[in-house]
Amino acid sequence: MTPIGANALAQWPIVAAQAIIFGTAAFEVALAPRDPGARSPLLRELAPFWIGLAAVLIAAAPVALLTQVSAMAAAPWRTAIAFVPEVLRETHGGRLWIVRLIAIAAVAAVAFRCADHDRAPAALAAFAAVLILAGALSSHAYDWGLFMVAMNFLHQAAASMWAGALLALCYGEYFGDRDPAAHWIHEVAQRVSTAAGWSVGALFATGAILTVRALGFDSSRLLYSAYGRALIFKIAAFAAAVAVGGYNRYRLMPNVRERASRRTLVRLVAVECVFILGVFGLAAMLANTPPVH
Amino acid sequence: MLYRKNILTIAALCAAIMLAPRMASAHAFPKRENPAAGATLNSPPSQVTIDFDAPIEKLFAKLTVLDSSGRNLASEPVVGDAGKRLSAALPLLKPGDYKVAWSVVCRDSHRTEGSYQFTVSGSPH
Repeated sequence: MTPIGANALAQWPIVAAQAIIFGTAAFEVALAPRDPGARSPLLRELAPFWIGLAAVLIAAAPVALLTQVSAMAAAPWRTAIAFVPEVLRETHGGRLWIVRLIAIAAVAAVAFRCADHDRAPAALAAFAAVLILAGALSSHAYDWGLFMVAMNFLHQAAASMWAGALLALCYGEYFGDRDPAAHWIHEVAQRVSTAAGWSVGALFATGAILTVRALGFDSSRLLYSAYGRALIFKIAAFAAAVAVGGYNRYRLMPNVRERASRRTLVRLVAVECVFILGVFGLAAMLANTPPVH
Repeated sequence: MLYRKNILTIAALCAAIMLAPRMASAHAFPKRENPAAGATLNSPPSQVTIDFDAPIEKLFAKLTVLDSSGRNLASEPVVGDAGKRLSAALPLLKPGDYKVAWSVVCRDSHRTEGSYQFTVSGSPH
């Protein structure tokens, strides 16, 4: 496997887990319905999910770090282990890895206390935001200036919000025990739809800015470069997710109180989530592909 | 009114792209080499210098100058000019073809490498 493919594959679980943690926690803090003065029922349901995602981060981080050091040193894993302390101490990417590892430890510590602490989701969202920012600061955008780092961060945050809102809906519907379920999903689906709409708008705007910065206005660069072709696949997966989301919003949501529509909606939201996970994988691939030179 | 607001937002975003400082592209690539790729020199160079379009990591910077027998003649490479210049001193080179091979890691942790040749035609002074 090429270093680009290996790096992308190693980073995919981290990109997806940090995005989902940020999105679901932010959704729980800002958008989840709750009775005044009462705790959100979603909090207790999401707690084991966050512990699972923290475990993914803990398991994937050493693999991703070692894969990255191996690519930097152009050496196999066994040789690359010796470079790890030097990379962490002396390189920009290594110092960001130290920040990442601390943030992952904080995410894990908070995830285990989520079920009993009302403020834990806000802390979880903040630590996941640190992970996303560390990713933006070690991306191509870092060489393009702080404005592009901010665009990259907003791009990732918007994608995370979209995925998080959808997964919170699916998770709450599958694992929640509510009476009546139709009322809950009607209320949540409205909020998810609004969050998804804003997220897609932000993704489109920031994605356009990052694309123009990476490829310029030359369409041949989109077609005849590795970066351009990876971007085409990412845009196709994004378009598929938006199409499914549009169908959910305009066809199924008006009838969400009906049992059949509700089931179809939740199934299609799960399909939308799969496309978004594909987008995260292609984003990891894109982050490791050299832009047109 | 909302339509006008949207147009203004898009225009502001486009302006931001245009006005954003044109910094170096991600992944470091050579911007200028001295001696230049393919150059034929009358007198031997005292050092090889490559200027990159993005800052590079000192830890993984490599630069070799190989003669026709494959022997590396360059000294330990030095990174300077805010991390964008890689250079190595050379002994007095004899007339002949030389291959410069470099490999660097950019601040975004991505590795790039390449090589080129130059020729020394004049005799050493």
